[in-house]
Amino acid sequence: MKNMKIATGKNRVITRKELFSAKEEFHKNQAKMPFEEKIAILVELQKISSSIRPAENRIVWKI
Amino acid sequence: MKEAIKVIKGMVKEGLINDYAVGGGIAAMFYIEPFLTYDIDIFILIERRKEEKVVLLTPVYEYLEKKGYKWKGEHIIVEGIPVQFIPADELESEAIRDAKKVMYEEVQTKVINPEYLIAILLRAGRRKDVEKIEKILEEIKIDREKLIDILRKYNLMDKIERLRLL
Repeated sequence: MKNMKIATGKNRVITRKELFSAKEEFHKNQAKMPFEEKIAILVELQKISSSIRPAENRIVWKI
Repeated sequence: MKEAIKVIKGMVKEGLINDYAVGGGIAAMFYIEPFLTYDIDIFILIERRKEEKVVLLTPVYEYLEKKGYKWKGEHIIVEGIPVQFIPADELESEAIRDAKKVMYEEVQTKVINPEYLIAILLRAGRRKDVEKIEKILEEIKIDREKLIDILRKYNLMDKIERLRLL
């Protein structure tokens, strides 16, 4: 199972282990984003969330 | 958010609060990847005499209301952002004094350092707090010695060991 190979795209085959370590790396890189970019993403998340489930006490920030 | 930070800094300048730092989810987001949240927790150092048992936030709120900011539930909406002011206890006061100075859109602000943030989140101990601690530990490098010192000082070592976070 550990050595299961996964084709992720053209000419790219990786192991399951590699897939998860790439995922971990992705999250670490997301964490390194500038604070301003993170806040902009947060506001987008708030917009998405309030369009799915509007709630009186949840305000989409003005930045 | 820049304008809200300016308002909070103005409160320090006016002497309403002694100092402040951003805590909670937004402080966590400074270190980890973005996630959904709706408010900003501002930990504040506020002067009070030892014999006073109640922390008076009235002057803070009066100041903000005079500026036209309105209440919504537990938050006051400052420049379009729900803010909650939390008078700091001993651990949080230390966290404010130790806070990192950061820039947000050319405005300097203060964010609680990850080691203190972990201690504060751990003490709160809700599932969402523990999730944030896990993410901080996974996604950034922290000063473990400093964290352990804080956890020992505030009797939180048992808690972090029980949760197997370190």
